[in-house]
Amino acid sequence: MKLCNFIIKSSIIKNLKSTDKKGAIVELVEATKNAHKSEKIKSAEVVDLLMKREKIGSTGIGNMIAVPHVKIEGIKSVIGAFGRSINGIDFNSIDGELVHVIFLILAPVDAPESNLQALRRISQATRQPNFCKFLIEAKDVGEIYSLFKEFDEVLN
Amino acid sequence: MERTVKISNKSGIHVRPAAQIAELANKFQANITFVKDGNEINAKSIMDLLTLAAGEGTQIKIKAEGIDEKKAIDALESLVNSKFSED
Repeated sequence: MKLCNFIIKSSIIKNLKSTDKKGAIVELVEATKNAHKSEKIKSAEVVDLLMKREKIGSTGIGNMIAVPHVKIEGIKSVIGAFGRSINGIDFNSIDGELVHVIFLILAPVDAPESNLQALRRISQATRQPNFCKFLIEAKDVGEIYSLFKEFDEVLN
Repeated sequence: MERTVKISNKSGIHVRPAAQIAELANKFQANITFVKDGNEINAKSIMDLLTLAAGEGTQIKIKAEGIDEKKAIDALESLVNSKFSED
């Protein structure tokens, strides 16, 4: 699975307005909902599930990255959003550092494999030297999306 | 030494199990790797573990080398068999 399979240009947030975890998650869920109008996403419910998931263990996996994710009913395939925070957000990350890049993943409840494939691609990309650095330096949504496409090609 | 285990929780190695594995692996001095389909990764890194995309039913070979290798493999095997307290 490629990054561009589940993150489309219209679900990229160049600068998250929120400075806290919950606010960022709300913004990302809204972005996913707006970018995928044909899917029936109940924002409040999804945010609730994501926050519950965070309580079990933070999805801040270190190296400035967080991957909040949840399986939900009513979607046909994995969809998601990307959000960037230049100043950083406290995500209770495992390395104690602030998070600057967030990938939200919503996976269909009946396809647990698709969640793993999305996580795989994100971790492959973030292991590449400079991936996060480039994302933080990108000027606009177009540049961020181009980076996703570029890394998708490199990783194939 | 090495041992093959089977991932048996429904969601496979997603973020939380990966974090649990890496945390446990880091308690040992031994060099510990997981092998899936010939792809060998560092079991002390969450990122590396996530690249396996190991779902339910996947066979993983745990390899450990070092003074506490047996303890490490025993501990990791029981963690995997505990289904990471899921399901």
